[in-house]
Amino acid sequence: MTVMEKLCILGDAAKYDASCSSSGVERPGSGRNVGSAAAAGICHSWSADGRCISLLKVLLSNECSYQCAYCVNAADRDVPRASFEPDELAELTLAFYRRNYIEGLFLSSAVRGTPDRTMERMIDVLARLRRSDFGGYIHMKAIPGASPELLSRAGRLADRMSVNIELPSRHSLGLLAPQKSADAILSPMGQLAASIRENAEERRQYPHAPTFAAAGQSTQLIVGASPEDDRQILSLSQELYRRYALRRVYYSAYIPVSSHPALARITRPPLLREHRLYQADWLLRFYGFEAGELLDTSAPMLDEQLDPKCGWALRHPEFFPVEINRAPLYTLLRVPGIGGVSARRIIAARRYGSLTFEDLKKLGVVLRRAAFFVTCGGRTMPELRMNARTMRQALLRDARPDLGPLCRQLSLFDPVDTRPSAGLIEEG
Amino acid sequence: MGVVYITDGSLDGLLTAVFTAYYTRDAVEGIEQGPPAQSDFTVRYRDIESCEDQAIRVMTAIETKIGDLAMHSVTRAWLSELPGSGIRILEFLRLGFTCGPSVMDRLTHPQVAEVLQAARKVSREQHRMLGLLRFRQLRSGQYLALMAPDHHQLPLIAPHFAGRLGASPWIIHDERRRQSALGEGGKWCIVPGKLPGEPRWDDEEMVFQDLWRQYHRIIAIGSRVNPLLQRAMMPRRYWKYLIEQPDALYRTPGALKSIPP
Ligand code: SF4
Repeated sequence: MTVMEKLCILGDAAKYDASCSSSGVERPGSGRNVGSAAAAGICHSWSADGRCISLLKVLLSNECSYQCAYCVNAADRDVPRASFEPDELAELTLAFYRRNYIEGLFLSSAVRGTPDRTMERMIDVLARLRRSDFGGYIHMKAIPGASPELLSRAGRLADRMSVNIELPSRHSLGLLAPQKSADAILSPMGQLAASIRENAEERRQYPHAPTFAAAGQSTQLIVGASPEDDRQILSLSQELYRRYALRRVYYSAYIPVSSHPALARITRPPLLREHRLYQADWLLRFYGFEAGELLDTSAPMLDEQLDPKCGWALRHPEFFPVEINRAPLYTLLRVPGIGGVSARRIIAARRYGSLTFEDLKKLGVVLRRAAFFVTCGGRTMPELRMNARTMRQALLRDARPDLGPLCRQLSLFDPVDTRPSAGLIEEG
Repeated sequence: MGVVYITDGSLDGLLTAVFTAYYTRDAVEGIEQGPPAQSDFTVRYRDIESCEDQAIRVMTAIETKIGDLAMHSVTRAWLSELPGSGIRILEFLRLGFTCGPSVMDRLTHPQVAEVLQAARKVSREQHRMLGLLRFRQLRSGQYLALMAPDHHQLPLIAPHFAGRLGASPWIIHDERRRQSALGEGGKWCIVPGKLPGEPRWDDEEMVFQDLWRQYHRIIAIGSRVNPLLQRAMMPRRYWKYLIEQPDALYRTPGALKSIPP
């Protein structure tokens, strides 16, 4: 089989992986070997679905001996199979990297034979790359059930490691991925978290000490294949961030591939739900929100029509209005239409004079949204009528361009209902 | 009468112009990056000859009195090549020399806002170019990349690629500005002029280009195809130099449909 044929099969098999970021590690090129990795992450292209391509994302093999119900590569499915030889893949990665097509490699694999055997072959690719002085970024997925010794060898070669949590509960995991136990997933996560922490400590003392997954670890879970609600998913993410110091939790809308009786019966991937989960996750990580604030048992699902921050703001009228010229960072960050950058700009600029609504525009605040929630020098924006109904309508109107092409694309099949549903409005 | 300074377009040229503005009593109305397309009879023109010594003095003054960040922004605003950026930088610096580093926080002041905005535009494109530049291997073993960015990016991106390509020799050629950056072993320099003759590609070059084109096509998820989003993230004007030819997908009948879901 040619490299081209393998690339087609194994690239296609890896494409549902959500993670593409190459960020979080700074390794300047030395001018001698090939490569450097920039902390900001670099996108090299965008595919026809609008996703960024940063890494060569492939499986080493899709010849799987496992039977995960939600997976196209499960052993019993009738799909073309292929495996790269480690040297082939290393050479391809280097050639792509030198031409600036990619920032590095994102390597994953089906379980071919045993978990240990699979990990060994993956490590072989990484070792070959590093031996040829490849300084680009490597993200490797650990195979649940592989030995701790292999995991620590992989961590010394990779910039980022991840172990997929796959499904949001033990119960669903048992049902849909019978060969992967929750413990086989959580114990490598724990091992990685500990090694990453120790390594960071060590490098504080000895800056030139070898690194261990310097860009941390991440995980991914599938949304919509199993019955867990958004509240359960976000609480799980919050827990994972806290317990394992994960850099990212990736959410991947389930793409229906089989009719397994325990799988949710859907015909289209829940893209909008995935999008809202990412927004909510962002609020957990950068805006000081708690999962419990965003959702509770009485409203366990994110509002598909509104971004989660607007949703929260509408449910908490007592928090508003926020005075731009006095509010601390934490408070500014909770205002819809004010992001991390504009909040910091507000704090810098107001030292030199009181800010007006005109000024806010210049600072990058999205006034269409923020205007409902702020005052400048004690005044609300002129001609703004504060009334929950008009407010929600305006925010809804605004939510669509914000979603942009994603929403337009969806609406081709599935018009998004933008009528305000009365029950969700809270007068304030 | 107002005076317009004509520089050679380099950063030294700008800084020398700033120096001249401070040490003459010219009522400076413009700092241009080359001779004006049309001369204006209401102003006087003055040629500024770049002087490294004066440039370094101005740069040191900016860095010590206003800060490294200000110098960083001024450099990028100048490389934006946007009309009027020279005079706005001068006004920004005048303000900066009176009020110090805090000028960077006066985001609502028009001169500050404009300079920082121009700088941000350049930084955004700079970051984009780090990803979108494509090298092809020549028979001689060198790696060659062509580009035509909106802003003058060579001096900004060359250091990144010097680190990335390591020992292999490389060339980045800006077709719009007819300049190239040449590098090897971590060092680089910028030289003016067109490329000599037609490039001759390495035999293996086409193999990797085909592999990349194919990969780019299959990595898309068919059920999520979204050309609008793709164009929003990666504006069309940059596609010309991409190996992957994203537009082939939209021009070839049936190609879009052939992407697996
Ligand atoms: S282990 Fe499960 S998820 Fe992974 S490739 Fe095999 S069947 Fe698919």
